[in-house]
Amino acid sequence: MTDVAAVYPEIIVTIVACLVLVGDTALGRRRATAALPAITVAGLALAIVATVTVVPLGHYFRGFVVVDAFTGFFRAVFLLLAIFATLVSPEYLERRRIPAGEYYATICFSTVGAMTIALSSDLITLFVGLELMTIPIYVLAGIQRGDRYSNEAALKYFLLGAFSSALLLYGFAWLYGVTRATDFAAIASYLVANGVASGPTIVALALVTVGLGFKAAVVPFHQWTPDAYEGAPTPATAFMSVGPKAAAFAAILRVLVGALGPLAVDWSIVIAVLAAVTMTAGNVVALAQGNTKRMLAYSSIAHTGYILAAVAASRAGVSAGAAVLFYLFAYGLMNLGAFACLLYVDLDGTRGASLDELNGFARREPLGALAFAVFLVSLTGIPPTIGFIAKFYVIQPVLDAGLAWLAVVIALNAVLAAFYYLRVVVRMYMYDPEGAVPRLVSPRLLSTSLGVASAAVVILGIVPNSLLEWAQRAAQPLVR
Amino acid sequence: MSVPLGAFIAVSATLFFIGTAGVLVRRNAVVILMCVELMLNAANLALVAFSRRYGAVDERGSVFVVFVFVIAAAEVAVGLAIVLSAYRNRPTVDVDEIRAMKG
Amino acid sequence: MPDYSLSYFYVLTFFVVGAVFVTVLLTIARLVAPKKITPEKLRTYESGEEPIGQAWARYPTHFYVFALLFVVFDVEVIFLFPWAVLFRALGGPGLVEMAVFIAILAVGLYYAWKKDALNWY
Repeated sequence: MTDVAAVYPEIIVTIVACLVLVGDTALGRRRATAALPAITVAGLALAIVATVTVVPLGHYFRGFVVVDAFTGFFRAVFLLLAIFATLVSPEYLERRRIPAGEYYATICFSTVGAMTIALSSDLITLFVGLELMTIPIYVLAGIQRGDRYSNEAALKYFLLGAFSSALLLYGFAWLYGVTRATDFAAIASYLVANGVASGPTIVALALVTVGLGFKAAVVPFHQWTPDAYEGAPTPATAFMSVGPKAAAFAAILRVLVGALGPLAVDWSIVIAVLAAVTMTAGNVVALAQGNTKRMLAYSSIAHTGYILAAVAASRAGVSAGAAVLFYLFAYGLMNLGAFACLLYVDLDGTRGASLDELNGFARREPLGALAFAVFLVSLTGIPPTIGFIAKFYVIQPVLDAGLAWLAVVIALNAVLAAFYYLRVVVRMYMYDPEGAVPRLVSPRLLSTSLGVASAAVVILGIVPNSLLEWAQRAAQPLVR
Repeated sequence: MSVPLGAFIAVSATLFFIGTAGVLVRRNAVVILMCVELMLNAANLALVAFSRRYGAVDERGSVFVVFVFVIAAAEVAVGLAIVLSAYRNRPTVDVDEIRAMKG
Repeated sequence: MPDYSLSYFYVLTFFVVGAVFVTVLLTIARLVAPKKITPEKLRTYESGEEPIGQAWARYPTHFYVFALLFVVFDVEVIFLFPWAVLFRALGGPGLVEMAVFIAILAVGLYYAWKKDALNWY
């Protein structure tokens, strides 16, 4: 039964999802709106507790599943993000008449998938986890069925997501064909034993890189991102932009660094170039956006580039892996927060906020504006925030890996990004609201959770040590 | 006269390329979905072929295929639902016409 | 020629003979049969419905929901096959695992049922 004990958190989240679905039908509409988020948050919190209760580290289910420090870190991150996403949603869902039960259940199922990726020590587990994570996200993007933009977001996300899954799977098939194994350790040791990469290995490597690149929204495989993020209902976007991104990077770390680590000489330079292109393209296009939601979508592409830079530096050892994990945590917190701040202004008939709508936001909603400003400053990477620490820890291993040019590109991009992030802050604080001001909603739950998150962004920016140590311990299993 | 591994892989590769080309060229959302299925089945065929070559030693390839089956079914179900709800609001399945947001 | 390819040869022969048989019969019928077309003959069979409109008619999309549920549940059953084959080897734990699996499917079915997806409008 230790096998089952090893996946208690996943079991709990699955049960929560089922409970939410049953509760949605059994409770009346009024009671459901209050009860469902409460059930979801309580269940997810219970799952976090369950991640702490220890089964001995090691392999379970005949080597299909591994529990190590890496697993623990990602489990906690995914669960925290899911809780955060649940807390900011209820008021919006009610306003837009989005079916609440389906929404929360979908988030839970997606979280189970993401946690399965973190658990995986085998291509099969990883692929199942990846699909279990993504398919609910397609549903989430299109959950507002009557809305054309939501439909379009879901359709584009789905078509490219399915395509990328197929590419990835074909890559996995070849990997299996070449190495005769599906578990990461065996693949790695085969590659070490057989020296240089052969033709089929390179084909597999290319397919896997492209497939995972789609999932993480790496330029040039990012085209679905802006539309999917802009069209999806805003709280769904907030979750989509962080959960699947972190999960995609968990998969990248497990597959590229874990299983295909022996081929690092072949892929690290490609990844480094992709990282540079991704961050630059994301930032440049974000500069030109007049819609805040779309701007944040492009900015999330830019952040993919920074994280990818740390992946490219994996030669530098533990510090590179730790940088990826730390950045993912920071990114999750601040990006989810930033998207959630748009919920204040996202009224009926608007899609995300145009920049003009944010004029004078600080006077109308002081606390909301303060939280938004904190998230934006953190996304820029200005000192007393977690965003600064994250960028700092990315640059270090990049230099250690001998990629000085990439470090320069990162620094230049950080300056470039400051323009469009701080522009929003300036508009919120220095401009007067224009014309007829639409009525703002000020939901209490949203404000409270954003307050807590923005406080965490600042506090962890001042005392990042314990989090960093945790990330370092979690990155240890990746280094052989 | 057993069929050599190369033949299976050739068929699988052909299917995969037909699928990829279809996804890139066709504009009908349902046809694109069918092409993706073709790609998944190409991967399935490759997995089964490799698994058979490795025979009694390794059955993981076959296990993989079973999971891919089910995932593909779930994907089709969700995909068709999305296409359908898009169609209800705007009767077209041409992905070039579904373009409310600037690309 | 080894034995097993000989058995393929039988199958091939069967196909060829079958194809020739069908082709010949259809050709003879076409040559021999009288062809006198009258309007009365072209009409739909006397108690049949007269066709209205075109074949490219829209059909109600709620058939789709049934098809969808069928496909999903039909395919999920694939997991039962390996279990059925190894039923004795997997024993008690296998039974419990399958019960859990089916219970999760049942939750899905319950939800679809409660949300009126199974109603025939």
